[in-house]
Amino acid sequence: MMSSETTILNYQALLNEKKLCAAECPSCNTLMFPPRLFCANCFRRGTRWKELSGRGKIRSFTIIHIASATHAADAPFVIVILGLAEGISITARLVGVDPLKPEDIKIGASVVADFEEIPGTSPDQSVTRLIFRPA
Amino acid sequence: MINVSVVGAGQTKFGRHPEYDLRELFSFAAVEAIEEAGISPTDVEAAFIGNLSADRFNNQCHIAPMMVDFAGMKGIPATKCEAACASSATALRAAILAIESGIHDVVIAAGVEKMSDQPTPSVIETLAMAADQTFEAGPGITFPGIFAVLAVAHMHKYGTTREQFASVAVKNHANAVHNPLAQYQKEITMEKALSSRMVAWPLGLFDCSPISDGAAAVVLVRTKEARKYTDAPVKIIASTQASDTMNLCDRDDLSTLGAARRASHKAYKQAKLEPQDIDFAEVHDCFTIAEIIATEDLGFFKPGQGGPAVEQGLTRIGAEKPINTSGGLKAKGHPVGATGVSQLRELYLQLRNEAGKRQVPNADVGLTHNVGGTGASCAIHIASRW
Repeated sequence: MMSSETTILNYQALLNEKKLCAAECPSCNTLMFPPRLFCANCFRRGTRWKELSGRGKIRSFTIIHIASATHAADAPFVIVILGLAEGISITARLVGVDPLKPEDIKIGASVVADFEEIPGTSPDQSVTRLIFRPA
Repeated sequence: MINVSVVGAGQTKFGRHPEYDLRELFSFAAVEAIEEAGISPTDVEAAFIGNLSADRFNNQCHIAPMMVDFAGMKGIPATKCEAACASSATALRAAILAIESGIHDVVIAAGVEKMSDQPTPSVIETLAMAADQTFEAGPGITFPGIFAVLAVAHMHKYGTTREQFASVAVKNHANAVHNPLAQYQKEITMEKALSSRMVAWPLGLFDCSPISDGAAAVVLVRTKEARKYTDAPVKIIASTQASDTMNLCDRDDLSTLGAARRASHKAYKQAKLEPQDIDFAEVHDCFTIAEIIATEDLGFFKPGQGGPAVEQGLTRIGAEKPINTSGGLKAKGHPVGATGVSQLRELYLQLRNEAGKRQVPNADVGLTHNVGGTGASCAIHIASRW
């Protein structure tokens, strides 16, 4: 998959292999997340995958108490915007913290990526969701 | 400089309207605006109608021809404009451009939304569709959650407090007491605002605008023709729009909305005015923090000073910069696709001295700030007294 086209569908396929990837421009080395087919800096077509370390720091966060219909069973849960070591930023769930103690979640705290299986209607339809945990 | 004027404005009461269909809500606002302009529906040459999601809320696509037919304007070009919660400000801008282009002389700009047909979790899900489905709504962020992320960043950077958020809600509810078309014509206390149920920490229920039904409409003509319709037209002197990244995670600073800064900068240039020349403003307080950030992005207060300003009462009616005299989205209500044009209607009333007990003394110039989605869209309009 690492040589596949940098589409959003293939990003999810890589995630299913427990690989967190961004798109990288082979010309100017700009790193892009969410992945893009055209470089955001030099507009060249033909970006490639680069696997990320999964290490980052919390930039901001919230605790969702009233969720949309799809996520209602999980509430309350924590959403973080985090800056990755490679200089890009991701929005994801943060697990391993108490959602009823927001004062314990600190901007700047270190987090690390993990992968969670979301079961589908049959075993081959399960998908992997990117989550983060305190480092 | 823009050379378009408002010669009529109409609006339904905002709130829950189980008794009326979408087209009926639209017709009340449109016919009121047309009658106020002293014209017949058949004089209107084109319509631009803001609406987020009649397809999800009411199982109805292609609403624009249906709306104009029902309100007596069958046959004219009718176009729906969608920019999430900024839908009707973009409809307004399209209407202004249609007149500025020389193609049309009399155009209606409107907005309509009927959200209360669906249960609340379904409404939350539809609103979240205005964020990136794969990368932000996917993990489970909601609209209150998006603005809560901005609130946490603002608190961290500037020391903004939950009491300052609550001050926005208390002020806007107090203003709405004097707006007969507001969803909540009642005051709330600081204690009540702060003790409300948590929605997306640090935002509680009283930090959030409600689920609403409603419509608003204005009739626009070329400024040099405007006095044929009314003795007191309201001149639109700036109309701008900007966009930003869809995703919060793609932005360097989470304590501000770049689209609002860019659109307002262009609007001040277009109107040849500065922020201090604006006498009052209707800003997009979908959540209390959004009003604080808006007053900073618009240049009314320095970054970080929006919270202290509302807490000190500087944005009340009668103070130096009245904000959301109508009650804002918070208390007037927020039928999302109708909000932008409803904001202009408040300017129309204020600039004609028709705002009753919520009238701003000596109001000569007003501004509207309508934000779509995560702040990926923002449209600004500035209007002045004739």
